[in-house]
Amino acid sequence: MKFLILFAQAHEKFRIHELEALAEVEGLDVDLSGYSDDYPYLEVELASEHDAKRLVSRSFLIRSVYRVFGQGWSYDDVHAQTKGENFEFMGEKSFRFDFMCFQGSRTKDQQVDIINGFRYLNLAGPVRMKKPDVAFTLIEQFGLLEKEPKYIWFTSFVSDSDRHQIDVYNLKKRPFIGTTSFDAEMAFVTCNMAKIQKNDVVYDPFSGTGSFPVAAAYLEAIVFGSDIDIRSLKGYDKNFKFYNREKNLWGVSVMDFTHNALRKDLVFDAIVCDPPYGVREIIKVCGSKNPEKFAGKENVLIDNVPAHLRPEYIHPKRPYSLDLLLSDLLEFAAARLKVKGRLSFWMPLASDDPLSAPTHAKLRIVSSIPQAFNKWQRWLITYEKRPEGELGETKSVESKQAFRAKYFSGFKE
Amino acid sequence: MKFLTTNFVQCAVQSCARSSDAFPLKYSECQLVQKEIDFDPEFIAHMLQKLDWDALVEVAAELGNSSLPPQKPTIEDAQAAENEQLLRDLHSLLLETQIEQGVMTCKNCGHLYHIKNFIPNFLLPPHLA
Ligand SMILES: C[S@@+](CC[C@H](N)C(=O)[O-])C[C@H]1O[C@@H](n2cnc3c(N)ncnc32)[C@H](O)[C@@H]1O
Repeated sequence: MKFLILFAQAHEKFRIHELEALAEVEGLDVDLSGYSDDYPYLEVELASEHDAKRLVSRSFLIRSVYRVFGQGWSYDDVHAQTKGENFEFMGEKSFRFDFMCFQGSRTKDQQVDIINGFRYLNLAGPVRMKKPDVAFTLIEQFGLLEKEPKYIWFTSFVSDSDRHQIDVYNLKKRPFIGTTSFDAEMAFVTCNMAKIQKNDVVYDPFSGTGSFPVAAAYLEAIVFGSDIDIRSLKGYDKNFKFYNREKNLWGVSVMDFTHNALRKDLVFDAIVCDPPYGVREIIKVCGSKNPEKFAGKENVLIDNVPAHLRPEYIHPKRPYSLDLLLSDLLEFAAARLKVKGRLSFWMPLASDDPLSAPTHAKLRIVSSIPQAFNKWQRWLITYEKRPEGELGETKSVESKQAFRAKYFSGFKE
Repeated sequence: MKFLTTNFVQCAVQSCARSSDAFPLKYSECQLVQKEIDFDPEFIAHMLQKLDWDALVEVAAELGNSSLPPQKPTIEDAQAAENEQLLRDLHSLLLETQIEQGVMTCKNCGHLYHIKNFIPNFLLPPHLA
């Protein structure tokens, strides 16, 4: 059967990657080679409406999917093809006709004329405007300022995606957010790139206000979050309560990622995060800038208790580099992900800087996708843990320390 | 911090990484609070698979609950009536029992960590980092 996928007209560079990941998750062998960033449409062949629904219902960058009966440059083409299709499946089913006109519109009279053109379908069931069994949909693409459509598909609606959740999870509607909170749409896309599914164990080691764990918990994953800064964790569970996902949050703690306290035999299905990159929050780890100054401090007692063991003790931090942090992240992912488990994280760059994604022999790079902003861009990089014994090449990380400097100098260089 | 979390955290000190004594941590001076969470038997049955049962029994006993069976129970049908009580008990212990304050001690190196306002803190002082 032929289906038409209708994409959201946003994040064009991400759409096909999300769809590929979803096809793999669902185990659907589907040819996506007809895709182009330039069009919001993609025609695909699938075995059933059920498969089409499985393919798109978890997407955040697709709008919906339709089954195609006829298509072409004119209604003559559409009718010629439609007449060759079998409509016995309609039986007594109720139905209605919808129009979706892109860059154009139709008057009521025109719509009635077009619908009458389909009389030969001999539909026996009743017309029902509210919740019909079948919503036939005429999808018409107009050219700019043209009266007649350039292209037409005669279809029936199969399924919407999960895109409406972006509004439900809009940051503005959450009880707890902060300056580092990540927009719901791209947090969801990140989770889909990491192939997160129900009951998966997911970790965000730089979780701040929990944007990724909240998105993963929506997908019914089991989530762990940690951050070096306690302030961002204080309202953490409020969002999980708000979205009725308290049971999915299995651990949230103050932790320096480079001194990790999650038990060593805990295997993750996915790791998703937005590491600190030194602009809104500095990169730091536990330790002191000048160790000499701290020599012997572990022996300082307050009320007979070593100062560093008291509840109010403030742990000194020292600066750390993004490069080191990212190689720690890859090392951690390589050691702790299940085979085929995925790491997806974001990396910011100045607009004109080329990406050099860090590599690890045990991790295959699945995709690197840029999202452009005014003067900078951020890349979503996704890795997959290779099967045991399969090793790829490692490339040492090149310095990206310049980002912070460039950010503050307004990207003038 | 949910009681459940005790099953997933260990000492953060590097030299304890390979020690079998670094997990589970020892829990003391804990203030427990019950928070109501919706019961989902399938979810709890699935959760069982991810648990280190010995550690669970040990920590539960430290916190005054010695009613857990010594072996991990096997649940084939989460909806079956005979499993309901067990799953409800686990739900109440693992998800609803939360530690507001307390101390976690590593049985290998003796370092201690605090739980404050329901959040455990695993940051290390400079001489251990
Ligand atoms: C870009 S923010 C991520 C924000 C998060 N996605 C959210 O929803 O709020 C990076 C976070 O990394 C944290 N961080 C910095 N250094 C860290 C370290 N060594 N270990 C753990 N977290 C660290 C910062 O406190 C900050 O919250």
